Amino acid sequence: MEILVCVKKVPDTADAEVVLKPGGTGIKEDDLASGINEWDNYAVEEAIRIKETHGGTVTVATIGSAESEDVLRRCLAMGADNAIMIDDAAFKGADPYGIARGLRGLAGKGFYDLILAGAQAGDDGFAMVGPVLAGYLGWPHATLVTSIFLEGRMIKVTRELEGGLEEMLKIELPAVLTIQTGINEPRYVSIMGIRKVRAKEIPVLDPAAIGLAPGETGVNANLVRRTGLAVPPAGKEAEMIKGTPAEIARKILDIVKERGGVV
Amino acid sequence: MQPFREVFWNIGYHYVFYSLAALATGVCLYGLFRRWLLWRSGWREKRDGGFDMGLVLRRIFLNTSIFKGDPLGGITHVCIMWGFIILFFGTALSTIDHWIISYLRGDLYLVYAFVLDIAGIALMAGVALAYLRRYVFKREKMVTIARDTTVLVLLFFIALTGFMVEGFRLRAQTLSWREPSPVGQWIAGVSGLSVPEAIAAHRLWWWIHAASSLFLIAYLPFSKFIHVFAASFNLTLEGMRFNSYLSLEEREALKSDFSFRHLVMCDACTQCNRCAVVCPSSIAKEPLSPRKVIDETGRFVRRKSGFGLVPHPGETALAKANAVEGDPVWFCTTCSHCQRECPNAISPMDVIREIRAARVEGGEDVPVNIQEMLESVYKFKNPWQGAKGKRMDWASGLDVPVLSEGAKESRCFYVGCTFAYDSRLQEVPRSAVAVFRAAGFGFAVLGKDEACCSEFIRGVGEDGLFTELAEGNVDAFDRHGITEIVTPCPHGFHTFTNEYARMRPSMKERRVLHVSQALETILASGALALENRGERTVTFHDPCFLGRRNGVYDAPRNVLKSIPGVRLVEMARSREKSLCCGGGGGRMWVEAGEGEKIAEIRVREAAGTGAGTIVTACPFCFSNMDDAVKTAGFEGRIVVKDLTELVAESLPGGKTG
Amino acid sequence: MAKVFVVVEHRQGVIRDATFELISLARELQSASGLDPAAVVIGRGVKGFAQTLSKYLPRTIVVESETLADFRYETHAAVLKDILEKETPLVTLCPQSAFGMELFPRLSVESERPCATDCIKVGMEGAGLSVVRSIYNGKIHSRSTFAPSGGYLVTVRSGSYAPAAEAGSVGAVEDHPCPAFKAPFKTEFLGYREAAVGAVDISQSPFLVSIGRGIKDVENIPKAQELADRLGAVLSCSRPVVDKKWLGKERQVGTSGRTVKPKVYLALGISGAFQHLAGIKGSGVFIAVNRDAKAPIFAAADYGVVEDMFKIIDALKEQIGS
Repeated sequence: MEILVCVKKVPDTADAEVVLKPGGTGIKEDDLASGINEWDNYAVEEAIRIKETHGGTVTVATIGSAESEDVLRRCLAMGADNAIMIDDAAFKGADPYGIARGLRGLAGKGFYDLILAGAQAGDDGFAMVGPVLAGYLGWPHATLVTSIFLEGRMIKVTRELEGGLEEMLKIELPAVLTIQTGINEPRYVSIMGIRKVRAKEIPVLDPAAIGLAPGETGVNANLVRRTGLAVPPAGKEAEMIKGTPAEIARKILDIVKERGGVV
Repeated sequence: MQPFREVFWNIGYHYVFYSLAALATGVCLYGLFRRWLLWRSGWREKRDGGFDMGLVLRRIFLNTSIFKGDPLGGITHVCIMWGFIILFFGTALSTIDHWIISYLRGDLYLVYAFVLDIAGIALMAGVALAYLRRYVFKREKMVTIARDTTVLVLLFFIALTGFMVEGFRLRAQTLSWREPSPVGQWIAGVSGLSVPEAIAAHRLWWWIHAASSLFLIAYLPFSKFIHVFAASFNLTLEGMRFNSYLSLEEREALKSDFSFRHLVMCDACTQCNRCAVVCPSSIAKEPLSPRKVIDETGRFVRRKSGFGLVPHPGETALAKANAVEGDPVWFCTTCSHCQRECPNAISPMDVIREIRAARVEGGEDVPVNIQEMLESVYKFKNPWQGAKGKRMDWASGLDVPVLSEGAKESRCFYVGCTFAYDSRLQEVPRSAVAVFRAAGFGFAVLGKDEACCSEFIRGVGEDGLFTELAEGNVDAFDRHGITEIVTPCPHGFHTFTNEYARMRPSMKERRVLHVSQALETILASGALALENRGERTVTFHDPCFLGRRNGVYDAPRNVLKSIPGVRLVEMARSREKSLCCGGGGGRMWVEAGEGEKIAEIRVREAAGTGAGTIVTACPFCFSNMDDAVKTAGFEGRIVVKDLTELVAESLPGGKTG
Repeated sequence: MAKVFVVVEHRQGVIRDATFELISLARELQSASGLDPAAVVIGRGVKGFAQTLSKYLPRTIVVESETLADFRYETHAAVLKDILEKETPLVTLCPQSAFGMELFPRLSVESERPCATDCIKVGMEGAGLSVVRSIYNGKIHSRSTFAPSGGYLVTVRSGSYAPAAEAGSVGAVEDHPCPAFKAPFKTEFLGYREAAVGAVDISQSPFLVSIGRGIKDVENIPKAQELADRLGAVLSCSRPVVDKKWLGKERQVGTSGRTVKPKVYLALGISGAFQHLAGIKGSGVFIAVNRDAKAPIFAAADYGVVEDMFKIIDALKEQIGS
């Protein structure tokens, strides 16, 4: 079972203050910690578990630069066999389609049975690269996968739906699956573990090496074009709700409904 | 005729005896040699330098560490130990007298005979006492295993048969002097045997006594008696200040499971259970018993070394992850009370740490919360998933000098992650700043670049992550030319003083102070005139990492005494006996057992002193005790306050700055 | 005239609520930019849905077939591709749900139309379509347009638009034949299953009602549980409640408990200890009720109420009941 896992390094913005760069072309990342995208981490763990049970190899790949190397090393320390870096110089500002083209080129260089990716990225949250890549490859896909069970050339997966419901599918290999959080418990990777793999070579590929023409991956090739970033209007301190308990309750229910909580 | 002992009187087949003796000695030596090889298979530790030989000798020969807190225990062991040693040397002296040079004659012999009898009495009395303590009074709630029983039975039997042999001999012999052996004489008197019967009895029991004594010698290295060597050895190693700190490169190159000293420790244990009696986890009826850890680890190690002459080399270091089954290892708070209590200088805490390190390195059997905490430290440089940009939020409005922004100070106020990010605790560094400013005490902070001191990162076994962050912190200290570090967090204080100093020589040049020590100096200099904010009775909870682990007990007390209106009462378990709050060793992220929590037990004790305030000097202590006050139902009866806060509140004009 | 299509999401005999939010958006696009709205419902036995939808929109397209009984992207993408080619709507909308996430990105490739997902605002800007997306844990809004195309696919984050009310008139329903499917299928639908019941997994719940020490006594727990049930939420708590054994450990939110990312977090009687707050992530709305105006939780919450939590619990139950 040859598995390719596509991973992304993202800044951690959950608790941090996010500040726009002057000019509003991006966010300031100096004060932000970054690491492997949470969904991708689950995907890597799942791939390694499949390998440990059924044999084969796990290759992790990312589109990045020297700064992303630590993410790949961490995956190697978890148990991945190979890591590949696709140089991101040509991918600056690429939309999910550009990324998927790059990964398609990479997939073409190997003989993979299964491609895993996180269901979405914690920064821009498109949740598109997986199914788009499957479309480009002409492979079947399933998103939000919560369990994988191999049966020869077929796999059975469960997908997470809403309200605690799941659906079960049978899919023919080769396939692309995007992984939902909670599918497993990713193992801990110690620093010592990462040190053990520090000598492992990580090849860096440029677009030509994966069969991409210049202009196929940059901003100009984007189908979805970002025109600007803005800080949403928001208040810092809690907005205090005043009134009688009945009035307050009414307001609370309104807020709940507004935010998608179904009552 | 001069008084003397006729060796082998009434005994024939001497060659049988000597063959057995040779066999027994051979087995004993084999066993000791194997044990030595096992110990030697452990990795070498380094020394901190210095050797208090007097202390070591007193502990080994006078058993001072057993007497501590338990005079009767000390007496029991002295009787057994010296009783046995004297008797053993008695036999040796007699052998020399028989084979080499006759000197045991006349008065010397009479003294010899008398002393041996007393030694025999002491031995039997000691064993009887030991039996009572272990089986009848169940002192320290001792857990007894077969190993413990066999040695007591064997010793008693040997002493008893020895007296019997002596008694029968005295009955049977016609001597021209009166042997001053009270017990022997007494047995001879009450034996009711005729001389021929005594001769026969003497012969029989002589062989029984010989066989059992030789059995003891052969059995020694395979039994609890090994502690005689292991404990003495361990006490010496401890006196020589060996420690298990290793650099990362050294860790990577390790081929064996535990260190030399850890392996000696496992054999030094005599199941006295003192460690478990003071272990906060055991007190709270959690699954951890330090005694059990040492016992299980010892069994594990012995099992692995098998019966071969050489213990199996080449086992990976990770194998030790299974030395102790299950989760008990994660309950240790690294308070070091077990280490302090153990009369044989065993440190279950150290062994637990090694097992944790193996599990963390292998990535398996690590509690999820610990994993998340470690990942947080890896990503955010603090365990609270606090964004780097928010690390200085505690100082908003204070205009604190920041080193990375150009402040020129050689004293660094190292805030610590918990004080920086926990909104309940941010008052503490704010209070410190107020006091420092009022006293003209110059300082600067590292700012957003301050990374976790990582003391408990090492405590849970993530040496790699510890090293990474520690190196970063030391680089920062070096970069800014820091000569003194003051921190309100005892964990930082501990690790800067100990592990950081071993890791990087530049740290040895720095003065490291806990804020209580800085406050003590400030207050002693008279730079501040504190005001009375009301009469209060307080009790001080000694943080493990300030007190027991580093010996700082007086500084915080002197500070409290300098605050007008504050009256200090002590808990029974104070200073080195302080009961851990349950926060160290990663326990802030590990859930407690079913019963009363460690911190709740402590709050109850504090309330029992009649104090209205518990004063803490550690962020974990504060957090745990504050929570415990609420959950144990003491809200309104007792409050928790930090030492620095108390001082700041008493500043003239209230807290400003 | 340009069209805007709403792809209807339904499951187990029910049209899902997000569909009605999209209808609101479609109407907005109609009034702002003159796009003709229509619904597209695909499945087996969906004629009843069409009847319902005709009360909301002037036009409903129904594709009914046995092969469409269960949702698979293979069949549904092929059907939509066929419709898109024939009808050429300018904008096609779908919820950002398990359904939309599975279908639309793939459809985008199959039908060669660009897609933007998880949008919170959709509108025309001149001749082109413009969307706003919430990124970086909701802390930044990103505005995007598309490369020129005959049609655009957009999935919309639920809760971005209010659900539509009936139109007051009945629209037309038309059948669209199910196209022949070409290659043999590579996917097969096997069935549904409830996620493993047993210990509650609060980290997966989008709506949490969380209680703290303010609950005061174990006898009050059922009140909070009832409120949670009525709100369709899961009951969670802070550590003191677990310490007292009033709720199981699996319900604890915090550093030594679970990390949660709900859309709505209603905290009742929780003071806001750091360890608790550190377990709440994401960009959901955080409402805190506490008697203490100085409780630190108010610095972290979006909305605050200084009131006795039991009064609020009672008031909420009354409001829901009515």
